[in-house]
Amino acid sequence: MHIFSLRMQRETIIGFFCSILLCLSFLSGIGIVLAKIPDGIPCSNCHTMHYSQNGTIASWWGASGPYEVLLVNDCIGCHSSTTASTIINFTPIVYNTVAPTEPLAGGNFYYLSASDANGHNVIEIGNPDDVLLSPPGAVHAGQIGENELTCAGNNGCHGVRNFSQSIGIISIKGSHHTNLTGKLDIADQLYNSYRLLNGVKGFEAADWKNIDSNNHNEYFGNTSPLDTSNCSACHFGGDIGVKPANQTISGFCATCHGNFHSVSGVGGDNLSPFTRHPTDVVLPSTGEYSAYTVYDVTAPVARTTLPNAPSSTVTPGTDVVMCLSCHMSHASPYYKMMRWDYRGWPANGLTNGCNVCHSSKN
Amino acid sequence: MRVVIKYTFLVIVAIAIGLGVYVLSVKAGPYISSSHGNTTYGVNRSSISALGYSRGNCAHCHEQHASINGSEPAPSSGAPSNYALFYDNYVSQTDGVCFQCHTDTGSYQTGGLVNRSYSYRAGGWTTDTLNDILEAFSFTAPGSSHNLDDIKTFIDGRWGYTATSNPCVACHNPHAATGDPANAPNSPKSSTTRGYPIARPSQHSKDTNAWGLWGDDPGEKMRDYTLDYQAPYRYGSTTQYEPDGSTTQDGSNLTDFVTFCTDCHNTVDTIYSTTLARNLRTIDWTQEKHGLIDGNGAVSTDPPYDSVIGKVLACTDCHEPHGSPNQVLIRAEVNGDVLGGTITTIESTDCTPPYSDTNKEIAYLCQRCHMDDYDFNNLCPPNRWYYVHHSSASGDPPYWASSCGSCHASGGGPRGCDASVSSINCNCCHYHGSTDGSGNQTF
Repeated sequence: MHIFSLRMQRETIIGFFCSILLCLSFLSGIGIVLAKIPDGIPCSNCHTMHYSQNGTIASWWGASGPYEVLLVNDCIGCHSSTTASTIINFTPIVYNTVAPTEPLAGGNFYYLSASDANGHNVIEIGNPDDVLLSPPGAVHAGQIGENELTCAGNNGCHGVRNFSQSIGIISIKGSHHTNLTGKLDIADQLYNSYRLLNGVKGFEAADWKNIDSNNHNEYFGNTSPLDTSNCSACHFGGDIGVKPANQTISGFCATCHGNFHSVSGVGGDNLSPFTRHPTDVVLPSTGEYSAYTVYDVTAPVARTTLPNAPSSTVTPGTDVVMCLSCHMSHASPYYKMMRWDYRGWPANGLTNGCNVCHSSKN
Repeated sequence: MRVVIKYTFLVIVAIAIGLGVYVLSVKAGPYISSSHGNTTYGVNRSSISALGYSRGNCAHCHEQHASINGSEPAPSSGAPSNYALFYDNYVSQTDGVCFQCHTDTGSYQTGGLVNRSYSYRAGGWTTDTLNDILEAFSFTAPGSSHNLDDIKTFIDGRWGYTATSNPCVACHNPHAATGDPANAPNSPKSSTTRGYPIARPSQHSKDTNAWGLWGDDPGEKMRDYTLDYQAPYRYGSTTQYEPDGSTTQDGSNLTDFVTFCTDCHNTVDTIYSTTLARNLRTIDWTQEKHGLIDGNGAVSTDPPYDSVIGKVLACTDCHEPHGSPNQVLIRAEVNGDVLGGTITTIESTDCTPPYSDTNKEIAYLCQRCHMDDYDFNNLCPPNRWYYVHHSSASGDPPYWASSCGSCHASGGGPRGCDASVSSINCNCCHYHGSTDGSGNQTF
């Protein structure tokens, strides 16, 4: 008991200083390597040699092991909580079994409990989509089949997408040990890619949250959508697999929803009129768009040049529209994982996020 | 204590009302205030509303991905359309995205959309059976409709319009237009239900804040265009006036249609009419007697114009904006009553004296405001025009009744309204911009 008490005090003190460091890093805008497994964490927190402890499994392990790369749980197993907290022990929580108090920037898979249409129905959640049997807008019919979407891997978003087997844990092998955060403008490896989305550039907010105009992720964009008519726009072959050649977040989405977010999908070029809502297209500097000058996390924009720190400024004529201007990546409280209750507008009397850019259509 | 509670309650109520007003005022932008954006009667495509979308939602017209739940909502055209619209922006005179809902039958909005003619809405002619926009644009000869192909051609390259622009958008800002009347398609508009559906093409912008409605603000009324506007009667009334059935007659409640229409129909721009196979006549309302130029001598006009020289008309006093059973969009009801017949031709086959073209259908229109022989003498037949042309009773007859055969192909005959002298097609002498041989305005 005495030893345990001392240990608790030490952990409390360490925790306190970590908190101070975290706060300072937020204030400085630099960010620290949070996504990387901190030094000093026991290997056994995450790994098990035999998926067995004293003839059974530990209480905090996942029940459906053994897991790839000797993990004690799968993606959701570690990044979920039965509480409303979304950051627990430096672990970003993307799936809460109760309503999250402050969802992370990508939203929260909790909202799938309200509707399959509220998010990406990764199989790890155990709530398959009853309507969509493949990615809508997919260039290749059946590229991901019914109940095949995973968090990572060939059928998922995170990790190196060249593993056709498993639920994808192997595709992020090692990346938690080497992961970089902050400004990620190289993205030539998984560990230096934005949020372990292979090949995607971006600036990772240290707290994983889009809070306000000063505190948010920065997304990378381009002035023209991905040209999915070119195989090499997505397919790199060999050990690399699939990733967006333009390294944008919208290009990344286009690897599955190519008809929605490709050049041909929006009308053949980056000029109005568009046949679908464009992404990776510059927000015009004229007319109603010129009013969008202060970064709004309701409908964020992407940057063609990543800043060194989150910027509160939006520059029409330079910044670009992206998929995540309207959608959450994991799940949101709203139909079609929108950032706001688009379907309910205008009857709901709430803000229509469209008006952030289309400022005169309110 | 009770006083404290009472005032506390009142203060809370006042704050709540204030907040409510503030919230509403903040949210009520041009789209929310428009017909399309209205949550009670706004856009409501059936296939979208079936998915739970609010009435008035953008998705009823714009499909961001041309797909919801893995397929394109009806109508599924097989390919996404420009401006992310659910249907091709413009196809033909009777086919385009607007007509997919603005029709009373086969509409993609449940129940269809009823929209009435100007004669119905402003003129109060509620027996007009025309009840949707597609129908209005479907008039062909002998009727007429505003030629959308020609409009599309005309606006291309002007005022920010392009080859992909919808010709309906030449006159309407779909993100701002208000119902006229709003949500009362089977009633004429009133001062409380009227709206403002048009926006000037010369002010066109994709920015709805920059491209506001026309007619809704001070400075945009016929009263602002001229102090001499005289509103026509409403159908069957001599006490109610267009456009809203009130007693207002001075144009202070009427959109300045002259300024609106002459954005295109002016003396600078040439508009080729495919329908008429010729260029449209140019219009300088400052130089026409129906416009700002005063007549001279005398004028013989019916109430409410009352033979007063100097009255000014608005374009919509005679013309429908969309379509009409008559040629050149002439209204079927004007100044309180329906025309005496259908105007099937606007062109003359012979305008060389002596005139052999005796068609005077166009006078069915003139007759609604100008005194024909019947108005001078009810023993004379209607739509006969001896008095205003030849009788001193009209005050200023341009031609004395002599040498009849030099103008009338029939040759001479006894004077008066019972004469058998052949008529002359009014259009030979009276049309927009017409003058006599001496340069006097004759229209």
